[in-house]
Amino acid sequence: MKKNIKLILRLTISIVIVSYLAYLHFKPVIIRPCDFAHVERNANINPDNSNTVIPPNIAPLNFIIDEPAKKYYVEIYAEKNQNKIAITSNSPKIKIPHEKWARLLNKNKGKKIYFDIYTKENTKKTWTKFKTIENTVAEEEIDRYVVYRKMEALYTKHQAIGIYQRDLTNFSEKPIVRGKGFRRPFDTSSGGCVNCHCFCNNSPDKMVIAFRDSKFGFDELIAIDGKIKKIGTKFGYPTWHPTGQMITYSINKVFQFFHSKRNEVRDVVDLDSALSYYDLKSQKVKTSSQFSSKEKLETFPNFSPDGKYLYYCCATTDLKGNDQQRFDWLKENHKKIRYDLMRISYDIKTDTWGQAETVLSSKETNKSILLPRISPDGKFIIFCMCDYSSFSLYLKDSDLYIANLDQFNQTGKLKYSRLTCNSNWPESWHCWSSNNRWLVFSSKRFEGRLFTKLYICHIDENGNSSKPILLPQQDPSFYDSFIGFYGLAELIKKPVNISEKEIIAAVRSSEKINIDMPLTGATFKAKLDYAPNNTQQTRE
Amino acid sequence: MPSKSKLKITQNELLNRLSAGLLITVIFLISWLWIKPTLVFFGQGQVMCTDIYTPWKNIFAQTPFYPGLCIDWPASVLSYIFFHFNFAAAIIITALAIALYTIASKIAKSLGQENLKLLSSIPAAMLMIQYARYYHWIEKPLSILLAATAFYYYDKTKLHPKIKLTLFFISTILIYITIPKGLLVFALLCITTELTQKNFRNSLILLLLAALSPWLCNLLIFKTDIIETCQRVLIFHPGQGFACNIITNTSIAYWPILIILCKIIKQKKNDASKFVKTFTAALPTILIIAAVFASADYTARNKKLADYYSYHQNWNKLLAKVETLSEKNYDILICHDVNRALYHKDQLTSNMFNYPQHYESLLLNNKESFTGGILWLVYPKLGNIYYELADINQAEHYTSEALELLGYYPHGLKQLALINIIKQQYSTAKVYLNALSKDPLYRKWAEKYLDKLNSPQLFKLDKNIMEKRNLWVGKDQDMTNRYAPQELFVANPENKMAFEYMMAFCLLTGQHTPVANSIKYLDKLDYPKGYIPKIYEQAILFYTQMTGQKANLATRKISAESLKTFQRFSQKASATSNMTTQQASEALGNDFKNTYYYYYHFLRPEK
Repeated sequence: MKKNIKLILRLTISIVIVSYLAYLHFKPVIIRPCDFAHVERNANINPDNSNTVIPPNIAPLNFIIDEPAKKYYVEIYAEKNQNKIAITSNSPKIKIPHEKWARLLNKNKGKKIYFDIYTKENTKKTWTKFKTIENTVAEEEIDRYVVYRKMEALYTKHQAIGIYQRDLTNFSEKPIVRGKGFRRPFDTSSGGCVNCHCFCNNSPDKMVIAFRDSKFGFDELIAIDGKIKKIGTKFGYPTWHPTGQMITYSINKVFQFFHSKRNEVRDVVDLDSALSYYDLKSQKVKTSSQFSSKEKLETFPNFSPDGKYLYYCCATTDLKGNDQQRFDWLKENHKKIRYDLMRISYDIKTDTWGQAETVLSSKETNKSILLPRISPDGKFIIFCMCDYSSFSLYLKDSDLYIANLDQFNQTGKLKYSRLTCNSNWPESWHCWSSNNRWLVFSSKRFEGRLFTKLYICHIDENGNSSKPILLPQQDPSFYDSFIGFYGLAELIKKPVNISEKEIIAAVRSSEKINIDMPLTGATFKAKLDYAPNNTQQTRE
Repeated sequence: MPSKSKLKITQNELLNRLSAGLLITVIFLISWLWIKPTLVFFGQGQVMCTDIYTPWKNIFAQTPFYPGLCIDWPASVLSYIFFHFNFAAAIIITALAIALYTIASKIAKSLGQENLKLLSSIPAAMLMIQYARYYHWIEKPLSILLAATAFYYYDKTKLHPKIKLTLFFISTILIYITIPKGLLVFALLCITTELTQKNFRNSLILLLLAALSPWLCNLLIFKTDIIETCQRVLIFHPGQGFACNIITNTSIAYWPILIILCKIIKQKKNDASKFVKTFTAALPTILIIAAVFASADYTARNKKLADYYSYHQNWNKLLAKVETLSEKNYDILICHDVNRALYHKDQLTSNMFNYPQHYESLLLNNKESFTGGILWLVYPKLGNIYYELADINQAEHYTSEALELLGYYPHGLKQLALINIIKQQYSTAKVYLNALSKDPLYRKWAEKYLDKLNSPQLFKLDKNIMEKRNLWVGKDQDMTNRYAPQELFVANPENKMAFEYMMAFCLLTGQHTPVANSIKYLDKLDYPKGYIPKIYEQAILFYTQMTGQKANLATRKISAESLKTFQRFSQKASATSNMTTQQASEALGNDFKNTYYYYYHFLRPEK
């Protein structure tokens, strides 16, 4: 027995020594190349996070050096060679040490940082040094967490849809709720769908999440200060009133169809849509004839930060009759549908709506105006414009535009401009940070067609955007083989404090607040007497 | 010189070893050559909740942590092996069966029964029955094996009763978290042991502890309810039929019965004759052979084989295999595979009605009628058929749907990469190829195409890609409710597959007018001069008889044989005018079963 113990001990010690020696042997030794030739171009790096503005609290922007070489050396430093990070690697994947990176960014807010990239091919004796890459570290931090929906290439069936929360200061990703979790052990059917999460004032204290499930129904979860309530109706695209007392949302009757020859196979039209709002105090759903007209398609509501205006998109159509008739009309005419940017005043104290007014007409822009999002200081509005319809991500020309609302309030005319962060591929589904300086948005530029990724860009005081950076991942090649989508990003200041188990328990629970809808599908219930302008329909 | 008794022991040992060797060999050979375990993934719907195609993916990121996730991962790794390697899968089944046999023998031995070979071989036989019927829930026999092993060591441990109770409680918690399907086996074994020792108080405590531990785990760790606790522990397969549930649950009930029988059966002196000893040693093997061949689902096996050959595009074997199926077993999916095989063997226009047909057997019409579990089979097939028809966007749509339902199955990834290459979306193709290259078995193929992506002009030399690009023509339109082959053929009259599928669709739906009007296209599609495919001739003759109009055959002629067959059919059919449909069907079935006439009159639904 003793002999055996001795033998095991000896073996263990030998293995430890050999492993340590092997580690020392294979560990790249950091030796700064002295003998190198300059190349007057930037090294190809992927993702290309060069010449941009980066948040001072972002996780390391790991990258791949896309140059033929056997050895790689990277120096990252601030002015006067301060806080230098040196990385030697035999692989083109450059992983930046987290602590050093955080220190570098923290000490250089508002200043530039530099990336020197050297490569060495086996056949050559000298190293090659590429042109120094410059990036600016912004003064303003980005909200620490981003909440997004992650799913695979979605057509009509889905297995793994989830809403996740990512800590932007590192690489940790935590699920808030995954549709697969709805299922009981024996149930091999598809998991539920979770969608349209929304927060009040970039805070997770007030949150809504919609879910759709063949077993547990189509309902909404409202979480306030860690307590979840299930509401017996599903909100479409929601927006919180800044006071947190009501949620306005769209009801969309969506129809998906497929193209036979276009590169993007999928397309979506709204057969019908309208806006409604849920009063948290009275637990009633209400609407107004101003934004629930049968001939119009109203969608994408967003409150101004002072809560006095509701911005939304509205398309005037010739839609009539039942779903089939509407679909037939849309099949021929969906490319003619363009949304105007509208707004309507609202007084939360008296619960009264003003008169809807057109902020920007699609006739003027010749494009469909979608997804208005107002900066938390109320100064800017960013919206998305594309050729037609309301589902911008399936349309190649979808881009983000910015306009100054202060100017609009003074002159009554909205002057807009295309953000420079756009690409040749679809951009949309954007979100402001709470300090007005950062924008997270979805874009398909990574591979150009199918998979949306999240990008972060800086918006300066004049509304100019920086070159966007791709949401960093620990493995810089992560996106190269990721068959999936990141969408509907929402920035929040602190983490969501409700566990996934609690959310799933609420989904499965039979307890819910039953709602009598003033709308059927997306329009007023039949025989409901329309009130004149400025009044809303209420039903208990 | 060895003593006589020593020689006797040696002979016994030799017999034991020979019987074990025979058992292993038989189990392995049956699994490898007859069951063909790789078939478990064909011809049926979903078999596992976890992703079997990419076991290297982080399964913890997919679903909230639940009891049993730990065993699901090794199960998905083993399933990955099952899908790709028949030989290795047979080894896994053999190892599992032998391990179950060994642990049952050991438990029996620990209870003083050394010669209960037949009884000990029952779990292995149950496992073989499951695989002979293609029930592949590998995590369950694994859980049972681990639980029985845990019991064996638990039972051997000599501790103070209170400490042993604590050990039992901790064990049940650990078992519930890691292998919940094994909890029942472990608890039943422990409780039955206590009962057979007449420790009623202890057995009651064990029962309570066994019930308490999962409930506590769910309350404190998993935060789920009592329904889910029961579902995690019990082995039950809703929708899989009575036989399946009986077999799987018998494999649990066996273990406490083993304990009871070990206590009841009296140990006999080992003084039987040589023949009896040899026979007894061979009994487990005989039991397993009998169990497999008596309980095997032969129809399921043949259907699975057909689906397997279709997946691997082995058309000859597929057509040979479906010959063994009875007519009633030709479901819509088999018919679809047969038609695809016939097209690839240039027989669709001549032999289509030699096989039973369904109205929807091309799968291309009325797709919305498929719901539920069948989608797991239909979507990959739709992806394949649309790809072959060069309806590229439809192929992308359905292959993507299949990928969503099945996980990253390699054929789907390959097809989506090729689709994007055809569409000249090289960066999207690259994502699919990168995903595929993570699979060690497909890395080489993926890397070859990744290299080609660096110089896309090379694809102009790729015959298949160029063929699909050329055939994928037409203007963009909404694809809802459209029938692809017709439109594909109208858009490109050189698309031979679209033409044959369009004609097949017209025949299956009883529309012989468009068939008669489409003979003019045969010239462009390189059909032999003067020749009209047999089943088209039948439709033309039917058309002429029913409408009184002559079809435009251009330079082609109806063959004398077809004319003769039609005349014979007309004569015999007129003789059946006073018969019921059933009687007429029987009267005409012998001579005309393989004709369009017979299908039109007796098999085509009134749609």
